[in-house]
Amino acid sequence: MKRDIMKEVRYGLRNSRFLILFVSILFLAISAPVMNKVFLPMLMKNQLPGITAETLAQMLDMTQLGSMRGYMGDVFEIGTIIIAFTLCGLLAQEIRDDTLVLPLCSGKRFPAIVGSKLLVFGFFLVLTSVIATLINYLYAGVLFSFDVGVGPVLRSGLLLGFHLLFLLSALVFWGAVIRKPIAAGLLTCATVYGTHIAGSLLKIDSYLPSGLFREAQYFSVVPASSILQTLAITIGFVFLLYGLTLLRLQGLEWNER
Amino acid sequence: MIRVTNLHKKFNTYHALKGINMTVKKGEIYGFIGRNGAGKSTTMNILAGLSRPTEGQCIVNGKDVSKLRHPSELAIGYLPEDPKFYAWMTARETLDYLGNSGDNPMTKEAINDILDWVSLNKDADRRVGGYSRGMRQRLGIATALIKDPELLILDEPSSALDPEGRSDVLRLITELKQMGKTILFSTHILSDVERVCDTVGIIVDGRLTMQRPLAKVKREMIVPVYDIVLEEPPNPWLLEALRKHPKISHLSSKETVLSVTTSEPEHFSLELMTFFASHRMEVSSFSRRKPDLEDIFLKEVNGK
Ligand SMILES: Nc1ncnc2c1ncn2[C@@H]1O[C@H](COP(=O)(O)OP(=O)(O)OP(=O)(O)O)[C@@H](O)[C@H]1O
Ligand SMILES: [Mg+2]
Repeated sequence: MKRDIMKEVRYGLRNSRFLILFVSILFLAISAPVMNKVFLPMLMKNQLPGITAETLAQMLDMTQLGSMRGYMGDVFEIGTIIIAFTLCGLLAQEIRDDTLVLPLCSGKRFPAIVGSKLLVFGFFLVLTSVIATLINYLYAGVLFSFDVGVGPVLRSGLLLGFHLLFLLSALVFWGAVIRKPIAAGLLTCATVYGTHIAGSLLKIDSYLPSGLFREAQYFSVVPASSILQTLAITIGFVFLLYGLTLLRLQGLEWNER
Repeated sequence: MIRVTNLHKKFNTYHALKGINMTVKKGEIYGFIGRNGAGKSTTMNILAGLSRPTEGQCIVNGKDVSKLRHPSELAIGYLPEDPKFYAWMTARETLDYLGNSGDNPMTKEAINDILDWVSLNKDADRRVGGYSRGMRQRLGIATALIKDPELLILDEPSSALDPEGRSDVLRLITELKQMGKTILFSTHILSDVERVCDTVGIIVDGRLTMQRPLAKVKREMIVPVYDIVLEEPPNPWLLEALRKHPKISHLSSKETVLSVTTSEPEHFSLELMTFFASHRMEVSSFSRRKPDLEDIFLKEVNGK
């Protein structure tokens, strides 16, 4: 297991996966407040000449909280796509390229192989999301004013991170099922957006991973009472997808064209 | 060490293996030959526990391959036809990664020794993505050796290697045999088979058409061939008469050139000459040659 973890860390470092993901999420964290402070007002003023500062403020949520919610939305909409396509080869490419053949012959087991991928990239995504959310909080606070405490921000960063962990496990699962990186990326986006839509339409968000994201967006001082349950369900989903991935891999044949 | 009975493999509609029966005995070197697409790699991949037989039984190292839970249970060394590595790892890291799973972890010294064996020490800290085909092949051979297995299944171990590398591989194979290991390897280089193998198996179109000790092949099948060049093309009835000749076991003809083999070499050339003389055929050349494994192979593959 130790060497499987080392392998994934090397993969992340040497193929710039960590860098791409960290920079993209950080970019979203910084661009959201800037958009809110500079670009959107400028755009509105150009489009609607003669608009007053008050109407503008009414139309745009020009606060720290507003920018932070904007950032969360960006991570959900754009970040999902970036993560899905940056990491879509994580398992699918390995199956396609037959790079698992020699590890299998030398005694590597699927639980360790897949587990290390989830551990390394899951940990990285949680960490990145906490850091990026904090930076977003600080930057938006500097541009506007600080109106949220740091506690809810940390909590939101964590919840967002666990939502990304769910995304990651879906990515690995689809990779094992269809063995094509791009298709796995697309299906993962569909899964993440799908659960979100289903969750809000049927009002079952708190039973789905998308509930984490919604809660993360509130930055409320006191979290919803159902949040622990949503977290537990999400982790359940992650384990379920992990198990299904293993089951699928166990049934595959290797080194065939 | 390996016993294969009635092995079939179908890929969707394509029937790649059509009932292979083969036996590899402990301590022997088995040369597995056959033309492109005959089914060598398919067979070896099944023997390595990576893909499953459609029908039939394969016992490898005492284990039934269709009952495996994990390929590594076979405890063999396997070199795939085209070994795939992580391009972003160095050779040393690759061996460290592959060598340290399961019970016997590999020491740094052991990795160095293996790298020396396959002459990769100089390049051991370069990324495998920058390796040439032959260097990857060497690394593949190294990975097959890391667990010091009793049985090795090597799919074209000498392909893509330079002459030195090829003779290194053959030397390695004979050394391994001296250590008591069993080796099954496929190749297209028949002189390699002649140099090191104890047994040859020829696979044609998904069937094992021949499996014999090399010594026996040499004794029984490597019989002289007479090449006769006639002045003008022979008549069909003349060819027919030759075919019916009691001493002629095989005849092939191409325009004015005839190739004849016999099962009774005694006075055979004399009788052949008499035959042509009595039919008033002018002979412009008459020569005798010893065939090699290649002729046997071609004969086998072309269906006699
Ligand atoms: N996954 C697959 N799907 C369909 N057909 C396959 C598959 N794998 C192998 N085949 C077919 O099975 C036959 C045997 O292939 P195999 O690779 O075993 O040949 P080989 O004897 O190793 O040839 P070579 O000398 O070129 O390595 C070929 O006709 C090949 O096209
Ligand atoms: Mg082959």
